[in-house]
Amino acid sequence: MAAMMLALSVPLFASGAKEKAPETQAGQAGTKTAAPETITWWTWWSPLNDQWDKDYFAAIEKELNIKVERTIYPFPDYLNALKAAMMSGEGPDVFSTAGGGSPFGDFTPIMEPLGPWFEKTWGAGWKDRWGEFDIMDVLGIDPLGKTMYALPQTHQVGGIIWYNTEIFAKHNLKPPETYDELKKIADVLNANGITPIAWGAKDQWPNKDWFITVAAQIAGDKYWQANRGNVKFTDPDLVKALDFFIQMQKDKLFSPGSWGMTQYMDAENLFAEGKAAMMLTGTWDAWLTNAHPEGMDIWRGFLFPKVGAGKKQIPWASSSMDFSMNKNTKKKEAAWKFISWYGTEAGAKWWTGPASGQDAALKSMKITWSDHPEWAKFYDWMYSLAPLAQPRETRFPEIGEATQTAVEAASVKGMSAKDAMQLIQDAYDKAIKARGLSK
Amino acid sequence: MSTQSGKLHRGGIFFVLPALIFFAFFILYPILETLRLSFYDWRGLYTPVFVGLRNFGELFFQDRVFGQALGNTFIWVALSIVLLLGLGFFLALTLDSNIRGRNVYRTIIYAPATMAGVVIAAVWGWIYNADFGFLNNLLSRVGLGTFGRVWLGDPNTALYSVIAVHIWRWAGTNMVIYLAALQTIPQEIIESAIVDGAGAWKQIWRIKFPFLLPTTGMLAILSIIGSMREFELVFILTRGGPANSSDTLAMHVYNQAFTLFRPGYGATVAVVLLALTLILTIFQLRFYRRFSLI
Repeated sequence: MAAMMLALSVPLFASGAKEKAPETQAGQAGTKTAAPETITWWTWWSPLNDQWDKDYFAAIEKELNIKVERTIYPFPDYLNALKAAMMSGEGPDVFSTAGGGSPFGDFTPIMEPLGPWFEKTWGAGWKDRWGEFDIMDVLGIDPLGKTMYALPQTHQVGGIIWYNTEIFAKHNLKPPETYDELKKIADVLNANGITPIAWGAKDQWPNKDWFITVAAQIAGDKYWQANRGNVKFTDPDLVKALDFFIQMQKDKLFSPGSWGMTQYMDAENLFAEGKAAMMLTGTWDAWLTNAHPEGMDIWRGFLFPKVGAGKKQIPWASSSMDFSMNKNTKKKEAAWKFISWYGTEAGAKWWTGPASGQDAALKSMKITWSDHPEWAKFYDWMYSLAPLAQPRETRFPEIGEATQTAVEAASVKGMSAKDAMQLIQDAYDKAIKARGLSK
Repeated sequence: MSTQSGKLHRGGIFFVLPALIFFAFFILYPILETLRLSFYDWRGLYTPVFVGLRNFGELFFQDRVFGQALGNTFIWVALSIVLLLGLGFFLALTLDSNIRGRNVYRTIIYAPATMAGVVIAAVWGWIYNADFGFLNNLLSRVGLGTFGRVWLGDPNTALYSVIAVHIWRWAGTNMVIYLAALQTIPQEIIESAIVDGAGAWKQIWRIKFPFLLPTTGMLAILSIIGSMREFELVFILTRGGPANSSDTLAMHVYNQAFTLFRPGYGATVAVVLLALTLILTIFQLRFYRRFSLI
């Protein structure tokens, strides 16, 4: 069955992309003298709602005189479909990417380098239009970290521990400034039958999130340096970080059932329903307030507290969706017209704001996050951390996968932190070799 | 071959042609394509590079997860055969008797086989939940709270917890097939045995069990194939974790092909999975034929 799935996926995805897209929607008709040019755009994002979608395409046609045929695939079908279509020369003119690294690095040979386009449109100082993190994150798509293969659009900030202020107040607790304080908070909460931190370890990706959060505090930016081959993943500070995370589990900061819980929705429910007092998350969880509007009053956040003498607290962030151009498209001008629209406030406004919980990569955009002043303040604070952030994504998918495995092996199988970190180093070495890179 | 039979054969081919085309396109072609892909280094983009047996070398000598996934798959197959057949046989015997409400019991026991795997996995995910799941709750209420576990999050129990769901799901199917087979046993043989003084136990082991051996053989083969390809329960309940402790070969195929985007290497794992399934099936078929069980 698995063999069948695998072999069928290639030809079927290729033909599916051409003949039967999951969803295709053209822009709304407008009244233009010149007929609008039609371009294709593939993405994994769903519209916020039907009316929004209608308005969005109408705006594109009105402002750009372009018709966009959008195709939405669920992720990761999106990646497979895109690969198959690109290989058969039937890829879209424009496609969505996410910065930071994996898994779009493999696409770079068929992506248009956008540096010259940026310069042509906005002059030599074009980089100043976007936040420093956003430029770094998009550069991360390139395995060599040099070429801009996408236009940054939105970002989200994570590595923030949200906490329930009601629970904290009830037990006379305040946000911790050191790890010892965090541990004492956990002791109080455990004694009162409340899960200190909700963690959906079964989903695996939250394990990497946790590790990079802890590693950022203990080893500074070494995890990201190791992604670039500048230090080894077996660096003593990174080994120490993993050991520290194991100790956190022994210190009962998490629910004992974490390894059997998903992040969505087991852990998120625990937190949202007030059964857990804290949760590692980020700006994207604004949507939780739809079901729990009281969250706006009682949820706030803090960065992972200092350990020992304390180092710089580093959050992490990721771009939610960027725009890349197919190197082989015959409609480069129209494709750039569409892409560069998101380098203006008129285009960037569509995917940012309270509804999506995402901030604009464009520096000039100022977003009012909520009518709720404290919630808006909380969001302003989280997004103010973006300039300090490191990318959430690893350079190659193999590194992310190995990081998850390393955390699991050290946490539940008793593997030493050093051996576990070696797993990541092995994955890195293999990934570099497979791509013919020196580091 | 007579002219008439020749015509019949030609006519027969016409009738089976749609099925043959279907088989060739949806079964044979994917298998051959997977086999071809297994010799290529391919990340899903650009031209695949022929690497001969290098993928197989990596799989057998360097892939840390493969050994674990292989071992887990064998555990899955072994437990499935023993428990699915044993439980199916036991349930069929029990519900073949004139117990009250047997049709209700049959329906209830068979019901999981009609449910979507995703639904089953979601329900069992809740049952196994360590913090608020039914199982730990039940154990606590009957005074066995110390036996509570993080069923899906403990490397010692994750695999077996998922296998238990697989058994729960398919035992009813085996029961139904055994029940059907039990109806084929000539009643006069049973009656003669009763007249000769054979008790229930002797009837089972001396008459029913031997009669059901061909059915058992067929079910064993189906169990092997079903176990080797089981994916959705593992994917939803544990993702193969923690730390690969519940990874199976099918899961490894998925991870390589669709998580790490190495379709070429994923095909290599798939080929090994296919080969193992074939070997086990052929071995069983020969065994049963040798002893005239099928």
